[in-house]
Amino acid sequence: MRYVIIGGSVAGLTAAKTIRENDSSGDITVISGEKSRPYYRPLIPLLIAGQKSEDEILYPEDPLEGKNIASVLGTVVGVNVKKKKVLLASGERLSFDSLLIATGGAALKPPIPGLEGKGVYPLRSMANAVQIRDAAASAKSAAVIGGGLVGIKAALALREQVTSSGRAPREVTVIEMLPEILNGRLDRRGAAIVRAAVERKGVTILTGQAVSGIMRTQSAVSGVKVRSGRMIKADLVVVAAGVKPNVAYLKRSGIGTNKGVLVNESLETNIPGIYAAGDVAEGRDLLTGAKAVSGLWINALEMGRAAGMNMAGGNVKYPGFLSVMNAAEIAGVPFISVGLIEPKGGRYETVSREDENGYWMLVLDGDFLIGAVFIGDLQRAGIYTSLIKNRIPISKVKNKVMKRSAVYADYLSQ
Amino acid sequence: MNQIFVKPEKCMGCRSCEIACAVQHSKDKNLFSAMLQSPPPMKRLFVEAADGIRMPVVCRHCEDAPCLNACISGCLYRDDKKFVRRRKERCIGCWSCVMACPFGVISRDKEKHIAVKCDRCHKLDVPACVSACPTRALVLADVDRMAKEKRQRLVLVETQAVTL
Repeated sequence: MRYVIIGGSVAGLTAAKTIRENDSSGDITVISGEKSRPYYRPLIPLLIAGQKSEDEILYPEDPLEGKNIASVLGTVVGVNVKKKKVLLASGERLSFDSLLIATGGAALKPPIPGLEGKGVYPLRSMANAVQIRDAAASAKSAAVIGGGLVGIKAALALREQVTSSGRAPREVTVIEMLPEILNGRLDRRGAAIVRAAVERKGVTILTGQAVSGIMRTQSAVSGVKVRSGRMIKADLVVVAAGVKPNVAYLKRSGIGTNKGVLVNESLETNIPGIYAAGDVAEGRDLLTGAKAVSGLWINALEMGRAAGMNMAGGNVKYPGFLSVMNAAEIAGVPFISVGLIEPKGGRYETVSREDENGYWMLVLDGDFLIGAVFIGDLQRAGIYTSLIKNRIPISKVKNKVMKRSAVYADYLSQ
Repeated sequence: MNQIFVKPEKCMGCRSCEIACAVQHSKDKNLFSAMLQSPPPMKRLFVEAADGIRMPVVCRHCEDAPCLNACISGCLYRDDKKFVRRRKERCIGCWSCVMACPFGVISRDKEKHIAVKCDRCHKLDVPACVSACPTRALVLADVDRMAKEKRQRLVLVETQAVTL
């Protein structure tokens, strides 16, 4: 068997490792576009304020070493599904019997006049983060377009970078189109709590405001204009407006795509023997059954493993992923959010509480927990994740669950 | 591989295991200085009570460990004894492992800002919690070397645990 994996991040690497565990003799090749040893992408915002160096976010060891897996540095420009060949930008062709598409996502470029050019940076790769760090050193003000997790982390890092070096704090402004930051990652109350903490760190947050243009002088960025006409001063602009799956190179291949590469329960595409996993794949949300692209590390890892098993002859069903499964600490506020946290429709029951320990909110659908948010006190949050992810009926311990006092022993006493 | 087994029917809820765990993970590893340590040392297992059941809940070092899968910083790893351990300097306090652990046995060290979990007392032959248990509700056993019947009886708790 000749296995080819396009993409050398978590989904691709996990698949390669899984294939080797299940097929000791097949040829495995991983094609990666990044020169460095693989790194932990979720950590790139930490490079900006120098909390981590480039070396410190690399994998501690080469995950492919000693496994007889070949790696190729290159960019794939096309896939010929009939001849079963992958075409690289270098002109090289690689033949496969089984192929995994794990090319992840790229930073979304919103259609904003003036976005192209110096002083405006996406934040998706280690190289982007290093550029921002270096450019920020001389920036007196910065703007971040997009108030999602990446945008907020970038804004805090940009604020932190200068304050830690003892100079006057840099003006940092986040501009978010929607009414609240962290849309989809937290419920409205939860997001408001985190927002207040971010603002206490000195970051200005503008919500419900669309960016209409980037203002430039001859040589540099001077600011960001929002639709209301207001002008925000900025020597540096970070674009964190989301991620879109890298599928452009597959357009004429015959492999089915929508937002991402469409996959079935086996993570196989419409072409037998060709699979997709990670941020590039469009699978299903576990709870709603709706088509979705994930963008989360843990889902990419699980998809990579399931795809790897199936490529090596297994028959593993991947039931779908939780579109929301986030944990973070933002501006000193730790939080976890899992499942459907803002359900639409009347059949759901929600219960929440806010006190000196923090805030929590649970969403129930009859006998099933389907969503949970914890801010501040995170103890035993994983029990709730497990109830949601594994769809365990909570009938007998509902009272304890609803009071956020369920412990593991409760499930043994059921 | 040696595993910790829990026999809920023998647990009196005395919390000796919790104390032994915290002491073992204190600076001087003795009770008296552990009591004076500030902030106090943290335990890695939790005695829980539910309807008709009392038991210590301890890290299983799961074969397919959700915490390990969720770790986004390269902190958690499986050591050569198959224990899921931390590279402490790698932890960024993102709490993904806390979110993922179905047993709820990973905590936050709020001072050091890192996750805290059972290391199976990897330097000891017998983990501190097992040594401290006066009723043998916690036992250390090698599953591979056990009689089938005994294994099935003991594994019951583990199996239920893993399917949660």
